[in-house]
Parts: sequence; C-alpha cells; structure tokens
Amino acid sequence: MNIARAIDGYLDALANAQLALRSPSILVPFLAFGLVQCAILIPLAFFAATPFGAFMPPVVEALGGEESLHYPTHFVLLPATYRNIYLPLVATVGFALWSLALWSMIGHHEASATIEKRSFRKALPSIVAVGLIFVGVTVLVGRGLGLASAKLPPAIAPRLAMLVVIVVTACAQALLVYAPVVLRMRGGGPLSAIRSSARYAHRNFLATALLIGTVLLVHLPIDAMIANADVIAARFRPEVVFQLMMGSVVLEVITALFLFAGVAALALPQEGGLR
Amino acid sequence: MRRALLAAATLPLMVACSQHEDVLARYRLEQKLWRAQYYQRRINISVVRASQNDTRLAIAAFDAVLRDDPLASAEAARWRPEVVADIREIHLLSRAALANLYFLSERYADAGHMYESTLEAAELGFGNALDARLGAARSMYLAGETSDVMRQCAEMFREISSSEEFWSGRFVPDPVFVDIPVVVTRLYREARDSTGYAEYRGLAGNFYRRVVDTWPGTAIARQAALGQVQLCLVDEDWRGAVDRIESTLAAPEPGEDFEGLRLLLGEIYAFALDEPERARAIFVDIETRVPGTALAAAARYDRAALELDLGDEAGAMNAFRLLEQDSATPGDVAARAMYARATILERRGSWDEALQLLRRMQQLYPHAQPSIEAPILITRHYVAAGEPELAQRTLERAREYYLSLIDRNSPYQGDRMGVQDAMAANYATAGRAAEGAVLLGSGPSSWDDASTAAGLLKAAEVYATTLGDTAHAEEMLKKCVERFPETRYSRMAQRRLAELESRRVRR
Repeated sequence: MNIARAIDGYLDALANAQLALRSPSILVPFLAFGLVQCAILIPLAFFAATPFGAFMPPVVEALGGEESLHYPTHFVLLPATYRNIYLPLVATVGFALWSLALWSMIGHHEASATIEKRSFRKALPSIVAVGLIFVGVTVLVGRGLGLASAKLPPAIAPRLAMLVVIVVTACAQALLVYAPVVLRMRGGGPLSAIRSSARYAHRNFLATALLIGTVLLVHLPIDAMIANADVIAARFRPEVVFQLMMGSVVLEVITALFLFAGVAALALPQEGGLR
Repeated sequence: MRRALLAAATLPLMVACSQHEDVLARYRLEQKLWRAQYYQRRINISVVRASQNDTRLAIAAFDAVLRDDPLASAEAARWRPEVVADIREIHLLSRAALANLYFLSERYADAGHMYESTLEAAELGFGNALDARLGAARSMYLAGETSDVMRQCAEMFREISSSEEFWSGRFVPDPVFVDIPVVVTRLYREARDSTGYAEYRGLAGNFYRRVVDTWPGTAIARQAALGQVQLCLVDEDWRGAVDRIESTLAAPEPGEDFEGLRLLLGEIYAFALDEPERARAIFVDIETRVPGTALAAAARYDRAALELDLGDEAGAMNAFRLLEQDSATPGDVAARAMYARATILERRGSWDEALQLLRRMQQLYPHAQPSIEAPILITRHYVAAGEPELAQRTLERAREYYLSLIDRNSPYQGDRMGVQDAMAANYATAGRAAEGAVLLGSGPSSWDDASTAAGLLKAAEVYATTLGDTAHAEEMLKKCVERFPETRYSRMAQRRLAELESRRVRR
C-alpha cells in the first residue's frame, strides 16, 4: 500500500466516522460504555459521599488498598484503582459494546446486503475472547517494554523509551483491531479472526497506523496529566484528577467511535462491500 | 418470600454502613484539613505579604476541622483504634496550626488557649507537650495574661523536674527550658506572691542541684550552675551568688569562656558587696586575660565607675577618657564612658564641655542608651539653671531625635518603648508633661502598632500619675483597648482601667 492510498483510506475512515454520528444505533453503544464507566467512576471517586458511603469503602479498599481510604491520597491513587476495574471492563463490556456498534455500522452500509447475516449473541463469546486478548496483549506489551526501558542506561531519555513503548503497543493493537469486523463478515472463532485481522493490518498497515496513532495522540495529553495525578492533586485540587478522568472517558467515547468507524471503512472494501 | 429477599439485600448494606462510619468520618476530616492546609500553604508561600483574607480563611477552615468532632458520638467507642488515632492526630495538627495562625494574627489570648488545648491530647509526646506549653506561655505573655504565663511556666517546670524521661537522659530539653525555674521564681517574686516564690525558689534550687549532680561536667550542668547564680541574684543574695560563681570559676571546663561570669563577680564585689580591692583585682585580671575585647572594655568601664564611687573623680575622668579614645572600645561602652564623664563635668561646673561631650556622643552613637538619656540631662540642667528658652530648644531637638528613633522605618534596633519613656521623662523634666502625653497619645502614622499601643499606655500613665488627669488617662486606655483588641497592650490597658475605676470608687 502506497502512501497516497493510505492517506485516502485514512480520509475514508474519517468520513465513515462522520456518517456513524448520524445513526443513534451506532452512537448508543459507545455512549453506553461511557455511561457505564461514569457509573463506576463517580461512586469510586466520591465513595465517602451519600449514598455511596454505605457500601463503597470496602470496594475502594479492596481495589486500591487502605491508602485509598484517605484524602487526598484517594484521588492520587484513583487512576490506579480504577485501572483495576477498567481493564477487565473494557476487555468484556467495552469490547462487546463497541463490536455491537461496529455490527450496526456494517448493517447500515449498503455492503451489508451482500454479507451473510450473523447473530451478535452467538458471536459474543468470540468477541469477548478477542477483547481479552486485545487488552491482555496491550497490557503485556506495555508492561514488558516498561520493565525493559527501566533497565536502560540513564543516558537514554525516558521520553524516548516512552515513545518506543507507545509505538510498539500501537503496532500490537493494529494487528488485532480488525478482529471484530472479521467476526461479523466471516464468523468463526477468535483465533481465526485474529489471524485475518493481522493479515488486514499488514495489508493496510500505514492507514491503520495513522488511525491508531491519531487515537493515541488525542489521548496523550490527558493521559500524561493523569499519570502525574500526585502533582495535579498537589498543585490544584485533588478532585481535578477525577475531572481529568471523566474527560478521558468522554474522549474515549469519541476516539473509540472514530477508531471503529475507521476500521470498518478500511475493512469493508477488502470484503467486497464498500468500494 | 419477598420480605426475606429484601431483608437479605438490606442486611449487608446495613452492616457495611455501620462498619465504615469511622473511615468516612476520618475522610471528611481529612478533606477539611486539606482545605485548611491549602490556605496555610498560600500564607507560607507569601508570608511577608500574606493577605489578611488568607489568614482569615485558614483560621475559619481549621476551626471547621475542630468543630467536627466525630469522636464525640457514642458509636465512636466501637471504631477501629487506628482510625480513632488518625482522627485525634488530625485534631491535634489542626489545633497547633490554628494556634500558630492566631499568633500570626496577633490574637494572642486565642493562641494561648489553643496551645493549651493541644495539651489535652493524650498522644502528645513529652517534648511536644513542653513546646505547646512554651507556645502558650509566649502567647499569654503577649496577651498580657501574667498569671497564665506563670501557670504555664510552673507547669513546664513541674513536668520537666518530675519527668523520668528527662532524668534518665532520654529527653534532652532545649536550653530554654533549663532557664524556666529561674523565670518562674522571678515572676513570683515580681508578683509579690511570697508563698509561690518560696515554693518555687526551693524547687528551683533542688532542681539545679540535682542537674549538676546527675550530669557533672556537661553543658546542662553548667547551665544549671548559672541558674543557681541567677536564683541568688533574684534573691539579692550577693554573697551566695559570689560563692557559686567562685566555685564555678575554681573548676573551669576546658574550652569554656567564663570571662563574662568573672565580670559579673567583679560587679557584685564592686557595687553590691562594697569590696573594691577584690573587684579591682578581678577587673584588671579580665583586662589582662582578654585584652582588646568587649569584655575587657566593660571591665575597664566598671573599674573607672568603681574609682568614681570611691571618690577619685580625676582618676575616673582619666580612665573614661582613655576608654573613649581606645578604638577597640565598643560603641555602647564608649557612650557610657562619655555620659559618665559629662555628668562629672556638669557636677564640676564645666557645662560647656559637658554639653559638647554629650553632643559628640549623640553624633557618634545615636542609638546607644546614654544618647537617648542625654536630652533629659541637658533639659534638667537648663531648667535648673533657669534657662527656659534653652530648655525649650533642647526639648524640640529631642522631640525630633526621639521621633526619628521610634519611626517604623528607622534603623534603630533597640527598645522603642524605652525611647517613649525617655521622651515622656524629657517633657516632664521641662515641666511640659501634658504636651508629651498628647504627642505619645497621638500615635503618628509613621509608628508601628506596637509603638502606637505603647504610646497610648504611656500617655495614660503620664495623665494619671504626673498630671492627675484620670479622665484623659481613661480616654487613652479605652482607645488602646479599641484599637488593639486581644493584644497584651489591650490587656494592660484593661487592667489599668480597672485600677483607676476602683480608685475612683474608693474615693
């Protein structure tokens, strides 16, 4: 794939995301996952407020340890505490809802007439399995590279090491990102979907990389701020950490919509639908 | 069935509710504490120009922490000990912070009470308890609550002297605490409380003896030995003081500088015990041991003053002159020598020479105490000589000089209240005490708050005692109470107002 085609595909992806905004059935799953996150994040952040005070303290303690029951440490540790819920949540509920939206996107497209109809409910275990692998790979790659970069000599700038971590994680994600589309188009199990996804990604690597790169780039500033929650809490108010995390949730709704719409736009032509 | 399900669903919720009330209470307190500390940080960042608003907000915020006392509830008895300890720690921290903020806002009485309240905390360690008492004593002193100062000092002394931690050597107190016994004894003596004085005089003596015996040859033992000397000085037991100083000097510790103590010994022999030979020998000894130092200059001055006391005016004059001319003589000693020589010259009738000497002294050492007293001497001379115009001119010059010293931007580092005293005395000497009282009570904008408040008190004193004008005195005192509430000046004014009131009732 040459650069012109990659950029053309990337622009198609942007246009598809715009189309997706017009259909509530596509929007709702993304919004629903955003709301699910809010419904978890709010009681977690304000566990001492009525009515959460009645049942949240043990939950917060179990997730974040005893230190999480103190103010303002609770807000400093909130990103780490929430991550314990977020990762399994995004791998299961998140991936399921996003895939549902993706199926709806394909259903709205004229190409869907030529594609065999498939039951979402039947495909759900495979979708969740793909989600678990997607999140698992992302976490493992991130952690592995993080550990490796920690052993690097101090002469190598930590920011450069961080950049490498982001690029490699993005590549790993790029290889898996088409799996939900494959499950809708061809059915089958999670492993065959991942194999096909890797092939698609290889064929459309540059456009896919641009797509994922855009998502990561948009998230980068807010994620960097959340990573420095201790500084944010000390310099401003501890509650600012929660506000940033809510911002991140809103951003995720938008970027997930953009990512999956882009994935559909890039994948459908390959399946003989959108040309 | 439905009820059973509802109960099953509600029960864990209720259990969870009752189990975590302690954590929630602590969390709420920590939130309030953070808000209060936020204002405190802002004050700390710009302490010089800390806005009054930040201090007010911080006080309100810490006050809110203290008003929230979850441990007062009955359920608190069942709370986890570590959470209860955390809550107590938060309250303790807030009390200490609030006491400091009250102090910063010059609300000394409130600061003192707040320091006292920290003492109620059981987990306050011995050292922290002493620090809190010292803070309370300092605040009470500034608030003018003398009896509370005495009470706190007495408590500090009682705690140290009965502390196992102190006598076992595990707790090494700040040197300031070793002086507390003398301070308590002196306060009782000044308050003319003979019972309290006798009790604490005995306790202080025993304490110092035990310290000297427990840790011989150490810094604290030397400080205790000096404490014993100071106790004798409080008693005006000159012989006792001499014995103790001589025993200390008889076994000097290597590296210790005892020349100051030796000078004190000489001064006691010279001016309290009338043993000039011994005194002279000591002064000469000091001059030989530490030549060219401030102590040697002080010894030379004392020797000259002793000669003057013994009637050798010519010898004293010569010694004072040599001291003035010696470049190694510190300014304050040189000024004292010049002043002493001027008084001799005045007595001998050489007024022009005396005046010239006094003027030169004021020029060379404008901030020295003798220079502050010089205008009084000059005015008194002119009044006695029947020269009202010259006395008036001296008074006007002195007025400008005193005002320049009291000015808040003046480089003068000494006691401004002492300058106000000198100004009042100067006006009284010139027979114009009322003018002086008006000036002191006017509190020009160039004066700081302390000088303005002290000026009002001084003016009231002049009206009440020198002029016998109680109405004006009361007016000044009321003004002081209104303008400087919750300060020691206000307390002193209130006390004086009560005295004037009771005197009027008796009449």
